[in-house]
Amino acid sequence: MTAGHHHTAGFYASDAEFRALIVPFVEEGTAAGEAVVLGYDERKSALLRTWLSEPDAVVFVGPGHYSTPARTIADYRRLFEHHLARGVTRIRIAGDVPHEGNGGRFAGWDRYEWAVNTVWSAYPVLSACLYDATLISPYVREVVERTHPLLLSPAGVIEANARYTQAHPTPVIAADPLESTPPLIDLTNPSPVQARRAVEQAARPHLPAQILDDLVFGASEAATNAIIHGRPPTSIRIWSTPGRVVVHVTDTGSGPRNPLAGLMPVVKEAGGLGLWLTHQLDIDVALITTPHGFTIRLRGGKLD
Amino acid sequence: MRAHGVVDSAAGLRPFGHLGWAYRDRADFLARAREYIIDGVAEGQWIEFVGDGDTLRDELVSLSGVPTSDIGVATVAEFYEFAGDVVDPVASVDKQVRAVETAVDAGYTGVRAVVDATAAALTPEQRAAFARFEYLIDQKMSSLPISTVCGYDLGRMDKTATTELVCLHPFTNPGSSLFRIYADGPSEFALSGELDASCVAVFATTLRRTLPLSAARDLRIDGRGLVFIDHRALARLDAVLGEVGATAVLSTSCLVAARLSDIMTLRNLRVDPVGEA
Repeated sequence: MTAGHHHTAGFYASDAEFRALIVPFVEEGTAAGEAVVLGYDERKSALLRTWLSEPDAVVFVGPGHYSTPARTIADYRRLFEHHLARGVTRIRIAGDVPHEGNGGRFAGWDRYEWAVNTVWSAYPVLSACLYDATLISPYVREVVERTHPLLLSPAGVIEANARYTQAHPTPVIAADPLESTPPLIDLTNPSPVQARRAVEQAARPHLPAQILDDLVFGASEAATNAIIHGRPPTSIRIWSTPGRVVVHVTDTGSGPRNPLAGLMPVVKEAGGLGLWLTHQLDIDVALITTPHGFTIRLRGGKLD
Repeated sequence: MRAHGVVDSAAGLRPFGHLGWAYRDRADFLARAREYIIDGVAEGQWIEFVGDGDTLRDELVSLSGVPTSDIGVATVAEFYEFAGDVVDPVASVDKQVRAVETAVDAGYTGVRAVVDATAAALTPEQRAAFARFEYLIDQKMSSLPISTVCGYDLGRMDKTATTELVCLHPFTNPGSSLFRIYADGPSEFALSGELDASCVAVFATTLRRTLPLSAARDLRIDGRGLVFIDHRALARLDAVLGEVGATAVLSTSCLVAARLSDIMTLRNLRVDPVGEA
């Protein structure tokens, strides 16, 4: 197998099938002196420790590693750099991407599964994204099949995936229930200062200080980018309820041209670093493009 | 913590308060001058009224409720020490410190000056020197009985130019500068207000003018008064610290700043979160 990222998907329907896929994947790596990084929940990690002949040769990063797509990409990049600096020739990774079937939210991970084909291409990485076929929705299955160039067969063989396409998936972004109600604040052409004041006013009673600060930063950055890179008129709309605040910053332009916007620190493009930093914080970020314009949606607090 | 903030009046800054005021309307500045002088007279301070042009005395007389005796009137050229066209920052600070000593010896409680400094800050070279003066004199003002309201005329300087100097005051007028740099306690300087894309260039210019004045290389920056600072400002601060061979710890209650600095892996700047000021 050549250098570069080999992005592999696999499906299982039981612990036994999961074991049949993951154990050879891991043990081939450890036997070859490769680094192996696993990001599963406590139950699966415990099972893996009993199944693997050398569990201490594996790095267990836990499910928290899959916090948000942008953070996960950044965390994995740091891990790759760390292992490569220690002379490792290849890194194998596997973990549970969040989706509604395993108690998470798949929103944003569709972009992740597509993006890592590009953003990890410089690293000698073999990744196995193993999904429980009994728990994933048809949409998740569709995304997984479209974004992985390789498939791990039940027999443990890595094969080309005929359904793979390089096309960027159209993210499915569920509406927040608050968005069907009148916004608490609706400003046209806000300056970044006005955007910060508006978020402060609407969110301070409802959010802890750290989340409030994250949301203020995200709104300020979005308002700045809307003015500099978007097309007027711009607006900020804010909804709030105890424990949750939703912010829309909208302009009438077409949004970032780079499909990796927010997932990578695109420092060559003005505004790219701020959007990436926004994605690193403890707020939910969605980029929404419609025929009428581009919206950055920021949500702080409990999303359920 | 030294008092600071955005004020819409020069009244009430007692016993002292270093105020930067960018103005378009001379009457607005003179109204602030009147407020500032009246407070100074009530505090028993020696008052100076400083500017350029031939109408200074007439303007002073026109201020209702302001005594016309026991107030010094001077031109900018007389009030500061100059080296060619630019102020000599250190010599000008020394001159003002001597003026404080003279005033106190004469029975006054300190010195309070109303200065239209526009004539000393028209060119980039003048502003670079005057920014250093503002930074150094504010350090004296944080401990000596002296303060000034410094006016800058937006009819003769553009907004960026006035902001470069107004930002070096603990008190500013609305809309004149989003952020403020001033002396406060044991820190190298205090940083308050907001720092975003709109003012990061002025922030960097100001840092390049003032950071070399610090003898220490491990600086403490008191950012408890910071309401907001973005990644651009953190990166510029980090870069200018590197240019002058210094490192700094910025203490701030702006929680996102510490998190941004961690993600950005800054080389010369560490951000410590502290409780709200």
